[in-house]
Amino acid sequence: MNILFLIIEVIISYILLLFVYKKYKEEGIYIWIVILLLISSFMSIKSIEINNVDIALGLGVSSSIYIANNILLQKKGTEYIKNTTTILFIFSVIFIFLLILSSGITISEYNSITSLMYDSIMFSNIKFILANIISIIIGLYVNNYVYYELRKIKNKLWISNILSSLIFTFIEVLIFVFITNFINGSLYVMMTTLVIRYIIKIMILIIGTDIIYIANNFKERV
Amino acid sequence: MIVFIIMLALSMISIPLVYYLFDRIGLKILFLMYYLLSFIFLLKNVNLLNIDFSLMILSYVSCLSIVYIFIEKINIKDMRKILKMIIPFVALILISIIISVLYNQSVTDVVTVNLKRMVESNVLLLILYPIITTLSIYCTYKIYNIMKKNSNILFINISLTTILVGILDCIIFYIIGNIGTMDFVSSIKLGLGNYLLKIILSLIFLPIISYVNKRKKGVQ
Repeated sequence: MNILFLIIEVIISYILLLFVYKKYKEEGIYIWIVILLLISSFMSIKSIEINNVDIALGLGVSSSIYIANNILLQKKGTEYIKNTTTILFIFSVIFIFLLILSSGITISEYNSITSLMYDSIMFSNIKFILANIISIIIGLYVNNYVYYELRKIKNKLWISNILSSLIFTFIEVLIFVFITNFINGSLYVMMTTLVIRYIIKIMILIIGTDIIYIANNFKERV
Repeated sequence: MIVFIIMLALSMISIPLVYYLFDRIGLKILFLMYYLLSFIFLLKNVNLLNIDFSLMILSYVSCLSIVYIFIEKINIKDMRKILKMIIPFVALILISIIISVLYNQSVTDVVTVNLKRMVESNVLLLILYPIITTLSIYCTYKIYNIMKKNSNILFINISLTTILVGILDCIIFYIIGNIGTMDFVSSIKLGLGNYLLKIILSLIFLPIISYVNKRKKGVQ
């Protein structure tokens, strides 16, 4: 059942990405990358089971960030996306600080159970949010470099997208799994999570190659 | 109290900082980020100096301050664009919440139970929030434009707009949104607390709005 929901999540993310790109062009992509990073971070606090392995949620949503980034990279080159990592970093810092601080304020007696649950969720899961943000920012940085270098060697969109995905996904997943498991996770759990998460993400990103092609055609028609 | 002041300071500093670094695009992202944050903060009610209010009011006022900057400093066309942008992104936020709840959690997951309980006990508030806030941001934009035609004083325009629109997004929203969750008197008290805080925070944000308005355009 979870696989089905994952497919739905990926389809919705990609359709909305194309809609935002068609309607708001590059500006929409910038906003998409930041807002989706924050949404995927919040989704990552829930874990689901795929093939008997616990996986943090938000795989489909976070993959669409890379596809959005590659649309921009393909269309505008590295000059245009230099700011992406800086933008992501600054907004993530503001977001994380406000989230952490929010759980430290004295709660009201009105609807206090909800406020207590809010504090407990934020306090115990901040590592997932942090891990997601750090891993995606580093992943994007690596992707931008590898994608550009591959494009210089052979200017084929699908080669650049697939090969860079294979490299940056490994780094991204490794960082995420390490941060979320280094305190109380066993090596076996870390390895299985890493492998399953890597395979799923690669599959979603390979499908995303078509989205980059579709987005490129949009622009030509305008 | 100190934590709230730090949060307030961070929210205030972020607006000119982002405008300086990334110009209009930065403000648009910040607007949507605060909108998302206010959605999350909606689930936490706090007590400061014996006033009860929802934490969402801080991020929501930050959102509205960006709206005022857009009307004053940038242009109406961009403001309309940002209003239209709310719809697909709110849809995305709602879809991600629904999908997150629908997934079957793993055996070790402890968050889902709390998340489900939080959503179930505040379902009306969560459904109403995007509707009321989108409507009130639109009202803010319309009323502020009317005020601007009659007066050039920022303080009067923002105060009057906040007082008028606050009736909708604080008092009416909390009375309807909390039906079934808390009694009528408590809803009114919470709504009034939000209303009061909204007015105070709008006035605190005034220097920031005026500073950004006077500043030269940021780096594109």
